[in-house]
Amino acid sequence: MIELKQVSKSWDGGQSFAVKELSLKVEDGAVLALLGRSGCGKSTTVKMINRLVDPTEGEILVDGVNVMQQDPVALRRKIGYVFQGIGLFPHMTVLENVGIIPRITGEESAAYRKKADELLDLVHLPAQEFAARMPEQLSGGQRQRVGFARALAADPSVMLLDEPFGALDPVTRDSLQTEFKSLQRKLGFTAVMVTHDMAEALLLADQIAVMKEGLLVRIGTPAELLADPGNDYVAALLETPRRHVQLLRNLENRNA
Amino acid sequence: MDSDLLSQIASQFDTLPSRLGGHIFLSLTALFVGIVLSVPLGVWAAPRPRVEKTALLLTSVIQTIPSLALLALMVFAWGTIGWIPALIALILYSLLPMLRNTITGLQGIDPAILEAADGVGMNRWQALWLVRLPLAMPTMVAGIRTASVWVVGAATIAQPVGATSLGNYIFVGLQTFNPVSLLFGCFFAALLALTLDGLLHGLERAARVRNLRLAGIIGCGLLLLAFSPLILSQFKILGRPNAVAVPGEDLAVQDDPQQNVSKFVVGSKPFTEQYILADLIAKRLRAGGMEVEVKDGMGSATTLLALETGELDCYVDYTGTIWTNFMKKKELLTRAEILIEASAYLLKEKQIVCLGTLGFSNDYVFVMSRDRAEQLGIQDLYELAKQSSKLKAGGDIEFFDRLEWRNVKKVYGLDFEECISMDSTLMYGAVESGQIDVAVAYGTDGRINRYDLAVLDDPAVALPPYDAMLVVSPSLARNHKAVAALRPLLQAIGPTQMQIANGMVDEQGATVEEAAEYLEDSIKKQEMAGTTAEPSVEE
Repeated sequence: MIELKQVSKSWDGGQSFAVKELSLKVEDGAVLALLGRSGCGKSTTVKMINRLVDPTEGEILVDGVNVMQQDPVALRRKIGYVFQGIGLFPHMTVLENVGIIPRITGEESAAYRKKADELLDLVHLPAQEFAARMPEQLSGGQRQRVGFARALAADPSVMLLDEPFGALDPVTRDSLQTEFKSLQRKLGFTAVMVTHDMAEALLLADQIAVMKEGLLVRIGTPAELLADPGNDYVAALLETPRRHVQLLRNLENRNA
Repeated sequence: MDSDLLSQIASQFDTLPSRLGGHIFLSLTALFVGIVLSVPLGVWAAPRPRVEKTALLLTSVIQTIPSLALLALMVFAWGTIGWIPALIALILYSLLPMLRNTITGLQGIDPAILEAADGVGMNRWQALWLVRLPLAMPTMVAGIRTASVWVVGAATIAQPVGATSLGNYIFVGLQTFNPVSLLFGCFFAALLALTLDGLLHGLERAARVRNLRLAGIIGCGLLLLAFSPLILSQFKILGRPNAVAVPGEDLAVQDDPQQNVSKFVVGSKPFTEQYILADLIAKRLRAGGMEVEVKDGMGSATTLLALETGELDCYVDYTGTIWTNFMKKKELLTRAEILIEASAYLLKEKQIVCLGTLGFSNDYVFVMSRDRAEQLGIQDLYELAKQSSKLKAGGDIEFFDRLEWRNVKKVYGLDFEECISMDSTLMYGAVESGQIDVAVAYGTDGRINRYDLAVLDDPAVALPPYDAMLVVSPSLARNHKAVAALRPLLQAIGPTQMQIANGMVDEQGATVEEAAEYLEDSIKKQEMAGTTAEPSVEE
């Protein structure tokens, strides 16, 4: 479980806030989407959970323990992290990238190789074919699969995803989103995912938290948001997928 | 002529293993220590703008000091000569490109990758070893490459401070007009620089494409290069049969195990006469069953320092040099008095023993072309002074800054139209062709005869005597065998013989070894005839 209590972050000593008095809760095994436009504070929020950024005020609890009372390095090794722009190490093979967390925590070479093999199978990249490749030899979708496999290497109970599908073409994005959903159900981890795509949030999340200028403007299940946007901002964000659906339906009706 | 050239080249190969070895040792050690220093410094400085600025500024300042000056500074800073000051100077020299590239390489890493390293839970050391250094590696290796070219180049000028390198060929070649030696040195220095650069280029490529096997092969290549002098020394075919092998050597081992281990270092200052004498001394000591190393062409001021600190055991110095440069005496005494005082000073102040004089003196003398001297009616320095305001004088690089110039100028009232400092080898041609009217020459220089120059008298004895004397370290002085081997040299080389030997090298293209053999032969003849050399120039 992840819990944020009145969390604020200021980069300029309190004159302005990237995140202001944010409180929310993610139940075990649930997926929360942090949604908003660029600069709304959603990335900062997710980085505070594994202490890539330290909060100015407030408390963050992961599985009931305040993150500020934990060693950041140990904390990060427990939490899976999928980076915006993927962030694979360009000088390491696919196998080395996936096995990096077991390696830095001092596991035996043979053990983490076996683990990496399994993880590659899990994300549908046959180890035989892909293990020895360099990141630059992979397509965007394949790279993101490696990114997922790397994040899963520590058997995390919590996963953080910072716009994980942002750099992919629509077809690849769609298939990876589906795979992510089934993987999450299968492994049962708790996830916080940053996105600016309402359709993605509706498809993947159990809860959607909409942020604007550092503030939480609406939180609820996809059904709740669709039923009652609550304010104009959320309504505007919901308008895009709705219009797309309407357009498709019109086209289908015309052809029928 | 062809076989002559070939034998000259072959004779150069004798010294190649030790000189190439010295060069490689200096270069690779300097590079290695440079890496060990600059990489941690770069890692520390990269995220700290102030440290970065200071470090880069300091190393850039070191870079602007001419390499020869930096070498000289290190000699004074450490008060010693040999490979230590040379090595330190080269290390300082190698720092800038390596430090700069380490910093650039680290700063050029995509911040997203650094965040990924943090995000997966690497601690600082893991992020450094697993991510930052590997990603900066190609840039860092490029810096090592730049440094290697600089260091190999700068190591050639380590010779004046007494470090053996390929520069010995170049300096000796320059001083003794030996183009074979000069080109030989240049060729191998260039070959070494190119080989090292090629290997490091391969390493750079290996770092860029992250090919461990290629890196391994390059590593083997570097090792091979490091040991190449050892391999070279195995190929005796290239060199002549070892001339220093002495028949009685094995006997000596059994006779006197204590003195058998004695190894002596013979030095020389950077001019022909000194090279010849050092070779002569070395041959004598070797013939006496001792192991000898020769350090040729050291800076004039460093030889005495080296003898004092025990890095040298023997070389030839001149009474006048000790008198003016070290004792800082302004007044002049007689030849004999100066010899006695100089010897006493060396023993008392420096614990250096003067074994005696060789029999000639290499005084500064004023020379003119014979025609010009007759035309102007000048025979001595008084007559020269009267017309000096219309005349141009040339001297070696240091003469016009020396005490004796001020002295002689005052005594005779010399006031030349112009005083030109030049390389000593150029003075003789310049006075002969009339570019200068008067040259301040060396008394034993073979070119005085060759160009038929008139030597002007010094009736007021304003120029100090430069009697050649054999100075040795206390450890050599205590070694009876060594002293016995050197004693026949005392009072055995007259001014004419020295002039002929110098002339052989400077004018007739003979090698230093041949000139030394000439002196050795003439000493042996005298021994047989039971005479000593003609007395040196009269008081």
